[in-house]
Formats: sequence, structure tokens, C-alpha cells
Amino acid sequence: MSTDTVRTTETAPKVVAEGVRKTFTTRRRGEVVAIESIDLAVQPGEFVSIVGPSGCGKSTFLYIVGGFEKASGGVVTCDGDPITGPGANRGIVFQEFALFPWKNVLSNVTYGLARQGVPRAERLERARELLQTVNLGGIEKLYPKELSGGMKQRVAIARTLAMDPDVLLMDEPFGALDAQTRAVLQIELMEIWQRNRKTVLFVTHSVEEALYLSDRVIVLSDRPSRVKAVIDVPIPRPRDRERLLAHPLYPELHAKIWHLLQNEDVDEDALSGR
Amino acid sequence: MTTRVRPPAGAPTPPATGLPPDGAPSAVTTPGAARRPRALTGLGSMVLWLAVRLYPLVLVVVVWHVLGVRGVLGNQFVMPLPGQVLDQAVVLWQDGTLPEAIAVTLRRVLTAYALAIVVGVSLGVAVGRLPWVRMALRPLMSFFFPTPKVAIYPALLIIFGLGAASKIALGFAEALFPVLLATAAATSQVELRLVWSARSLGVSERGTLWRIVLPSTLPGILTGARISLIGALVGVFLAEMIAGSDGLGQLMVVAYRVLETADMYVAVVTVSLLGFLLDRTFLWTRRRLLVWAPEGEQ
Amino acid sequence: MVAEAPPGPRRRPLELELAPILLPMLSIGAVLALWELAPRLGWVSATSVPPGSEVLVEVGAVFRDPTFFPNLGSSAGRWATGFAIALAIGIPIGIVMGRSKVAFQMFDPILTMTYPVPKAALILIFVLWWGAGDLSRIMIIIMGSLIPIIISSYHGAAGLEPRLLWSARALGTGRAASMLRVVLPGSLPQILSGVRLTIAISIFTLLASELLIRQDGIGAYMFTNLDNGQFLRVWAVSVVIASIGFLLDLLYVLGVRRVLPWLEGDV
Repeated sequence: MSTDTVRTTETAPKVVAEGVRKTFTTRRRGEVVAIESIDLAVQPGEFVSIVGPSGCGKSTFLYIVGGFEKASGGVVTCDGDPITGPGANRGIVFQEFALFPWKNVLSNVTYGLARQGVPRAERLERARELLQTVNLGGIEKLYPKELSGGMKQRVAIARTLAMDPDVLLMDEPFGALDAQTRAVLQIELMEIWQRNRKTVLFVTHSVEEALYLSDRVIVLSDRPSRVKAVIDVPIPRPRDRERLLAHPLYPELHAKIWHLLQNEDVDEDALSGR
Repeated sequence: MTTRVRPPAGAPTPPATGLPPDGAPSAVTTPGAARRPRALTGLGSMVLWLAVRLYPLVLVVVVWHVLGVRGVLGNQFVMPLPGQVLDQAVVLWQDGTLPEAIAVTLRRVLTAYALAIVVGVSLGVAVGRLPWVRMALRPLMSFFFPTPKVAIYPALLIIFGLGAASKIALGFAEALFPVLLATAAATSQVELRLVWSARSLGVSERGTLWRIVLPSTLPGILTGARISLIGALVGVFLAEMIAGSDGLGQLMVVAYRVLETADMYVAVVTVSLLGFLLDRTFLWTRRRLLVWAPEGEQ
Repeated sequence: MVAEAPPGPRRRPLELELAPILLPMLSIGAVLALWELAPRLGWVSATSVPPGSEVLVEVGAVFRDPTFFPNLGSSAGRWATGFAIALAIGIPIGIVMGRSKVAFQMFDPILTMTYPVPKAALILIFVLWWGAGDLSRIMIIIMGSLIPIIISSYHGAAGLEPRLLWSARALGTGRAASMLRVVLPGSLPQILSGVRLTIAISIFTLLASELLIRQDGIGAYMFTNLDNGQFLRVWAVSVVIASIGFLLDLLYVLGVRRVLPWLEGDV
């Protein structure tokens, strides 16, 4: 049983959000505060999940970290530099896959490398390697329209990994997949992550998924959202997905997060006393 | 049974009606883009709003005037100034020529349009809901949609002669397809679960048609109907130009032949205004009809 | 119609299998039969509406007429020129409108105002300005084709999934480069759909202009025959033109399928 190096407070955090706030102006309701204030720090090599009620702005927060949306207040930094726009150091994977429909699989994966000016032979080799990593050999020439959901998401992950980003942002990446494919991809993601140890910020609806994948789970409140709680997941790695539910720590962690999501106030003592 | 009727592989589907799928904010379909922003208030914003909406009109008139004065496109015979055209319009209005021409053309347009709507919607519903009708008519629709209906106008002239009937016929031919195709597309995509819910609540097959299918397909039908309205106008006007005895189109052609150029411009402006007003009226009606639709539709 | 497979032995599966082929043939057959019989049985005047078979035979005569193909050629040339120019102008305008609020505010009122104007009305005005030559007719084709092209290009660009753009940015594409690399290909389905529609509209505008300005071209050819009472020939030319319109549309769809294998569905 191996335990991973616990994050030490001496290493500089990779991604820091301070007082991040997001408001929208709608025609009907005027100004709406989606995110009231989010403060968090993600250590390098950490896998952090963000969960919260529907509409709480967790995806929006991810987009702010990605640089696709601008925060209305507060600051997000990556490696100390404030985030001003999208960049290749923060790769993103979407629930809707967002593959370029006019490019075939190989071309999608090599896209970022081509933008970087990597020579053709090298691009192709790297792409093929990555496709093997996500268990997709032999489908290089296919177009996105010919792929299943699971395949598309694997291609999307390969495409993002090709850039070797510092931070991996994942917006409910398995939400559009059926339960089986979802479970398989979670396991594959873990295998990939165990090897490259990227810093991951993972948004999800599924408490179970969060507990399987993450080192820490950040629970957001309902809109206007704040960080309601940060739950450590000290279950040692590598984690066995099938036996996760049987792990002694699991029920308490699950119940804790579940209740945080359900209620506005949680009686912590009552929960742990159970 | 699929919820959506699929074309047989290999046969090209008739093209979309050329306007956006419902729900997409759009140029031309929604005037909302230039709708008054609520953030601004007061007289200044009102002026701004009007300015944005009317600036093309003003621009056209100004450019027209400048070009006319400079004689860029020809002398003032070939290109009368806006002021002169307006004067002539007043003359034609007062001596009755213009009102009569408008009335004649408008009558034909509305007749052609009404016919096109009735035939187009009924046929469209049949095509959308009854697979065998769809299969039977698809090749005919695919053949006739891309063909220029005006190509058969001489044939229509032969059949109907030079009177109103041939003009209404061309207007009908131009107006039929957009609403037919839009209706067929919309009715074939009615959410099957909506229908099942209704049926389980005791609504009959026919009742489902009226209570579920038609209302939920109304946005799509209206999108096609909007194009059809302009199609009817174009068809009738063109027919009147080609072989007219009366109406705005004929006014235009006669003016051309006797070189009453100002009259020509009056005719153009009038038919353009007519088209614009018809379109606006349609949009206004549509907004009333679709009050219940999600915002995207409006 | 909501139908479930009836329980018990499958009833007449063969009929259902053949329906997609039989029904269209039946309907086309019915129309052709009607066209053939109506004049022969005196339901309509045989001079006004010649029987279908005679019209088809006349088509052969049309093709053999030495004046036909030159006329068709000049029409086709005008059409192609006007169409190409409309595409070259309209697609960029539409795309820019779709991505830039300023451009949208600028062009949308113009579009809304010109959309209901029958472009055919402008033909004779153009003749006033530019004479009865090719220029007027090409200009009319451009005018008629611009609006549907701009609108569909706009919708393609405006309706583009933002996550595609975001992905491209996160993969190292700059803002300006995104227009060419993402917006343009991403808008293609809508643009191509609009082009298909514009083919039909532009042919219509071409014909309209030629029926009014009877200098040369297919429309003029038709009208000459009409004036000379050659009704059979008029019908034959109508059939030819209708078929050309249909063929162009078909070739376009098949061409797009071939050239752009990644498209889902037809344009």
C-alpha cells in the first residue's frame, strides 16, 4: 500500500484563487451574482474536484481559471502570474468534447502541436503515442461524427495532453457518457494521472466520482456561491474503484459531502457522532 | 419507430428554408438585436434606438440624393432625386393610379399567400406525420424546390392567360415551398413524448394533432410562412412585370416603356415599402402568436 | 404516426420493405400519367398543355436548335459571375457580422430593411443606369443572392459552439488566427446550406431578369417562342430549365458530401 507524498505547505501552490467573484447582467433580472467569493489554492500535482449544486457556478469558475471568462472581482493566478486569457499551460476538456468536426482524430490531436510549430513527423509520433495511452489505436482517420461518446472524450483528453499543460481543467468530462463508459474512463484517467501527476481541477456532479479521483474535494454553496467546505480525501492511492465503496473512510466522506450539498447548514457533530 | 423521419440514404434532403433553426438569435428573424437596451433610459437612448433602426433608410435617401445631384449614375432623368420621386408619388396617389395599383397587387399577393398557406400547411402536416405521404412526395418536392418557379411562368401564361389568375399562380408557386418544407420539418420533429403524454391523458389521434402537434410546431411553420409571404409578393410582382395588365409590376414596366422614369422609382419604392410592411405585420402577428414560446423564438 | 409492431406473426413485411421505393414511383407515375392523359382526354386544352410525351420529344428538338445552347451559355456565364461575386462578398460579411457586435449593428438594419424588397423590382432600374447589357443582369443576380448568403454565413458564425473556440485558444491559437482556423470551418455547414438555397434563388433571379430584359439568354429564348405561339417549345424549355435547377442542386449536395466527408447529414 503506497501513500503519496502529502502536500507540504512549503511548496508554492500552482493555482490560487483569491476572492474570485462573477456577476452576469441579464435583461430580465438585472445583475445576477453567480459567484460571490471563491478562495482556494491548488498544490502542484494535486487532483482537486469541485462539486456543488446545479447552477452554482462551478463550471464558470473553471472557465475563469481557464481564461475563457473574466472574473468580475478577485484574482486567479497560475504559477504566480495572474490569468488574463487562455493559454497552453491550462488545458481544458469539456463535457461536450468540443472536437473539431472538420478534422479527423489524428488531426485533432496534433492540432496544438502544429500551432506550436512542432515538425510534422514528431507531431504524428507524439499523437499516436497519446492515442495509445488513451487506448485508441487505429482510429486515426476517423472523423468525430463517426465516434462514440467515450471515444470522443478520449480523443479530447489526448488532444489536451499533447500540449503537456501544467494544469488540466476538466468540466464534467464524463457527464455525457453512460455509466459504464464513465466508470472505465475514470479508471483510465487515474492511470494516466498516476503517471504524469498533473495538477487537475475537476468539476463534477458526482460525489462518488469526486471521491474516487481526488485528493481534495471543494464543496461550493448554492448561488451566489462561496467555498462551503474543503474535504480531504485521505484514501491511499492507487485506489480500487470497485472496492471504493467498501473503504472504511468512504461512507463518512460521502455522507459529509452529500449533506453539504443538500442543506445550507450542516451539523458536523451530529454527522460524525453517527 | 424513430421520433424523426429520416430520409432514405442517398437521396438529398430538400434544403432548409434558409432561415435559422428556431431558438437561435438571428439577424432578420428577430428584430430583437436592435431592440431597445433596457440599461439606457431617457430621450437620448430613444433617439439612439431610432437612429440604429432607421439609419439604413436615411443612408439610402442621402446617398441617393448625393448620387443624383452628382449625376454619378446618369442625369436626373435616369436617376431622379428622392424629392422628385416623392412629388411624383403624390401625383400618382392623388390621381388614383397608385392606390389602385397597390390594391390590385395586394389583393393578388394575399390571395396567393392564403392559398399557399392552406395547401402548404395541410400538405406539410401530412408529409411530416405520415411516413407514406413523405415517401411518396419526397422526390416531387426535391425536384420542384430547387427549380426556378418562374421558369414555368410562360406555361402558366399559356394555361391561365394574361389575367389575374396567372399572377396569383406564380405567387402561389413561389410561396408554397418555404411553408411546405418548414411545416414538414417541424411536424416530423414533434417530441414523441409530448404526443405520448397527451394520448395517455385521453386525447385522441386527431386531438393530438390540433392540441399538441400544431402548437409545438407553430414556431417552425411561422418561420417558413414568413419567407412565403415575401415569395408571394415577389411572384406576383414579377408576373405583373412580365405580362401585366394592372398592378404595381405593370406600373413599373409601363413607366419603363414610356420612359416615365420617376414613375418607375415610385413603383420600386412602393413595392419595397409594401414588402417591408407585410414583413413587419407578419412579425408583429408572430410575436402575439408565440407569446408562450421560450425567449429564443422571439 | 405512433405505431408499435403488432403482436403475433409479422404482417406483410414485404409491403413495408418496398414502400420507400414504390410510393415515390407511384406518385411520380401518377403525375406523369395525369400530364399525359389530361390533354388527350380533353380535360385541358391540348394546345395550352401538351401531353407530357410530346413535350419530352420536343426537348430533343430544343437541344437540336442551334440557337438554344448559345443562349444557355450566355445565361450560365452571367449566373456564374454573379453567383461567385455574391459568395465572395457575402460570406465574409456574414461571418464578420456573426463575430463582431459592431459589424452586426451596422449590417443588420440594412438586411432587415432590404430583405422584403423584391430584387426583381430593381431590374429595370438597373437597366436605366447601366443599359440592357450583362452588367445590369449580373448586378441583379448579386443583389438577389447576397441576402441569403449573408444570413446563413451570419448564423453559422454566430451559432458556433464557443467551446470549439475556447479549445482552440487553449491549444495555442491566437484570436485572429481563430477566425480562419475555427470560425470559418465551424461555420461551413450553415454556409453551405445557405449556398444551396442561394443556387436556387440566384437561378430564379437570373431567369426573372431575362424574362424582363429579353436580349439574349434562356429567358429571352423562352419568350420568343411564347410570342410566336410555339407553346410546345415553351413547355419543353420549362422542363429543361426545371431539370437544370434540379440537377445543379443534386450535384451540389453530392459534391459537398464528397468534398467534405466530415459533415453530419446533408446541407
